[in-house]
Amino acid sequence: MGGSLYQRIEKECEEHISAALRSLVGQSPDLVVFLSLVEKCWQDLCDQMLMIRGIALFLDRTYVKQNSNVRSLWDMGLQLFRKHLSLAPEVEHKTVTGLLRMIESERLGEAVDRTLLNHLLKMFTALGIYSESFEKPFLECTSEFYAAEGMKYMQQSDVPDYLKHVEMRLHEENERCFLYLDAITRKPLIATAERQLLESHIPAILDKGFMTLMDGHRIEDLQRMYSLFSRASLDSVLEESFSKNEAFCNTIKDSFEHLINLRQNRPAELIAKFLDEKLRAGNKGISEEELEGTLDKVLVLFRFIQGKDVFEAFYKKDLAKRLLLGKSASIDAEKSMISKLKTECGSQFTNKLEGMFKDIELSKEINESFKQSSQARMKLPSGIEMSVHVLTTGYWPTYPPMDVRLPHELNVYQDIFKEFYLSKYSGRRLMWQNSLGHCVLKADFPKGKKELAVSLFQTVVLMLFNDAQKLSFLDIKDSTGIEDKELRRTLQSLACGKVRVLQKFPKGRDVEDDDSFIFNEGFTAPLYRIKVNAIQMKETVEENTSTTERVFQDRQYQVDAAIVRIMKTRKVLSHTLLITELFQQLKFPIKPADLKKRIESLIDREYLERDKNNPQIYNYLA
Amino acid sequence: MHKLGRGHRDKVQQFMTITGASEKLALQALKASDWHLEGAFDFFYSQPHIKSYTDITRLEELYNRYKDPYTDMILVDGITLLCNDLQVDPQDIVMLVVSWHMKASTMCEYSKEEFFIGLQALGVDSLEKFRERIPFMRSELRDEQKFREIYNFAFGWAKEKSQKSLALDTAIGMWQLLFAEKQWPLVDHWCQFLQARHNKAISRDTWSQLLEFARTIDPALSNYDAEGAWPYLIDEFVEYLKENGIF
Repeated sequence: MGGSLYQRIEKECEEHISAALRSLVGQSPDLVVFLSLVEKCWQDLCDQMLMIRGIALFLDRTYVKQNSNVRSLWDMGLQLFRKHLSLAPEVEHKTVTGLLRMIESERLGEAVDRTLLNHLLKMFTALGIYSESFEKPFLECTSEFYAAEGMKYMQQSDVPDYLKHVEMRLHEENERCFLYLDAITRKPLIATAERQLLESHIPAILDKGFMTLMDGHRIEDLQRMYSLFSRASLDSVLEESFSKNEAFCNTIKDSFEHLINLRQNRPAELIAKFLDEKLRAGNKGISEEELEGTLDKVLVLFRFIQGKDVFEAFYKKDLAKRLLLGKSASIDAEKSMISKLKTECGSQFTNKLEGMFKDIELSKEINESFKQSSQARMKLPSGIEMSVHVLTTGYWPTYPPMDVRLPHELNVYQDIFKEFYLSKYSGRRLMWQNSLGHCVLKADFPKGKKELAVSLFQTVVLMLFNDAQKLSFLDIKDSTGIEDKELRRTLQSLACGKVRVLQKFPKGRDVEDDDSFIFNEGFTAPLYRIKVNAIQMKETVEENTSTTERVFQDRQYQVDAAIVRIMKTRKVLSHTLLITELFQQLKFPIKPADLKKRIESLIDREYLERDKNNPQIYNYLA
Repeated sequence: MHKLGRGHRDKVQQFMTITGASEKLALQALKASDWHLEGAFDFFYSQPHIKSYTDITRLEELYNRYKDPYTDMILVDGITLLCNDLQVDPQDIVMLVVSWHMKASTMCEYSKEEFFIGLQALGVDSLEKFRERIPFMRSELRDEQKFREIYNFAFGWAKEKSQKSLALDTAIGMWQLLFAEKQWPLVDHWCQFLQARHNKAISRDTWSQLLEFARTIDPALSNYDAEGAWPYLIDEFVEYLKENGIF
């Protein structure tokens, strides 16, 4: 009984629907009028099907439900409509054309009936023909429209206006997606618009406008440019230019963001740091060519920095360190960088940096002369080798003046040099930077002679022990005149670190006021020449971090890794089984409650999730 | 109608009040859904394309009434005005249901898009229709599946956009609102426990699992499994209840 009733309803509907659609054929050359007719036809269908369904409710809920191959009354109506629409293709085609024309009009500034668009597009969706029949031609039209508009506007407007226009268009298209287009169209629509309006014009925009905006401090315009470009995948630009160096890319991304947000120092500092890394010795496996290439790329960024003097300060500081400590990978590379900067910014910018190089080279010559000089030959004791870097103030960074009372001999040597220098360059003043000095001391330990590479301050302290077996902290302070904090650091490096040339009483990490020091008779080391690191203090502080804390932290990582490992293999696992597995795998004692906490942390970080149907089960999230 | 039992008569009455349908249609819908009110509503309103019959121009007018004068969004003042127009209190839980239909990303503001999506989903394009929809929206809270969706939605909506977790105060406020509807006897203890012992933000997992706890564990905690996958915080809560002699 249900079956035959259903069939009769279906037959009636079909007759009615096919007649309604046929009546649309050849109707009204005016597209908007035609569309309204289509809408009415659809609306009638919906109302009528609802009524039929309301009347035959029982049929829908019983007969239809019991027979899986029978559609609900509503779906049946849809299917009939779809069928007869496809039998009258000109109706569908005319509808699509009409819709596209309406949208184009709206884009050109006319007011259109959005409700009509909304209802008809919902009809397409309901009939399941939205993507094929509408979206495809729509996206093509959009592409053509914006290709033409893009070209026209690029020629007519300046960059800031063009970008404003693009932003407006993208906003407009976005609105379209909730006013009448189906939500699935949003992504391809915006992508199409961006492609035509932005991506194909990026080089032109950068050429035309970027520097003008930068020079004119047009912050808002720059922000707009940045946000539009980053949507239109700046990544592809980045990738092509800087593909090989990952760290560089990250640095750039950071830099760009900060740049456009005008955090003054960051890009300058980052770029200087990056260069320092590249120019330092120890960069294994990077050829000269590669280095040159990298330096060129850095320059591209350098152009965009606004605080160039900030860059200079950072660069100078790092360069000074490299030159004074002899840490440059290649002087040629250093000079190459300087000359590139010179080409970019003019000589004023690089004068000081070039000055630093000159000083280093000049110092070499001076030292040669000094060795040959009468002063050196007659007054300097044999066996003493001395070399001096003479730095022109103003070229080099300023170092804080540090007081120290040098032992008599060292004072003498400095005076000898001074005499020599001033005989050659009268009218100059020499100021010793004692904090930068370093020495190699010959030391006579009972267990063997050694050479100690130490800082000047360390030397001063050690030489006191030539005349005394034991000295108190306060004695040393008096004799050397070294500033308190600096002195404590120095003594720590000699008595509390890895290389203990002195011994401290009482034992302990920190240097207290009533500590005493003695020469370490029992000192022994495998090498002949030993470097005694003066920056010991930092390391000691780090070592002081509670050992237990570190062990617990480490365990946490191990648990996390184990959970991820297990879940990756099993994909789906119940809570109880996961806990069992973990106890089997982990070698240290741990409470189930702590395991739960790590699981929750991993859920929060989206490595796992609870199963939607059973919260006692976890799913691995790839 | 007088042939029906009392319970059924009440349901027909309710259905008619809420949907504005005729007695005949009400009877049919209820019979077809085995006298389950939620099912009958679902059936009545789930007619797929009835929702499309909203007039976009009227929606725009409505939007412009509430929109902030300086930004293209509806902000606090606009929302207050909307609540006034609808004759509901801004703190009324039905506003949460409205936000859920809109898929609003955060509380106290609606974007143009969210406003449109929400009203289209509800099939509303005028204040009158909107007011008429309110009883239906209240009824959605009584549907178990929908309540869960709304509850889980509330987490993302109530938290700060930039944060991953929900601030404790806000969470407690939301829980009190939601469980006033759902009637969970332990809600006050839960809130006290959090303030005494936890004092930190609430993660999404804890939020969603709490609903499961409230739904499935009986108030005497007889079917609670401490070895189970309950979040640690809930385990602690059970401990707390035992310690304080509540169980």
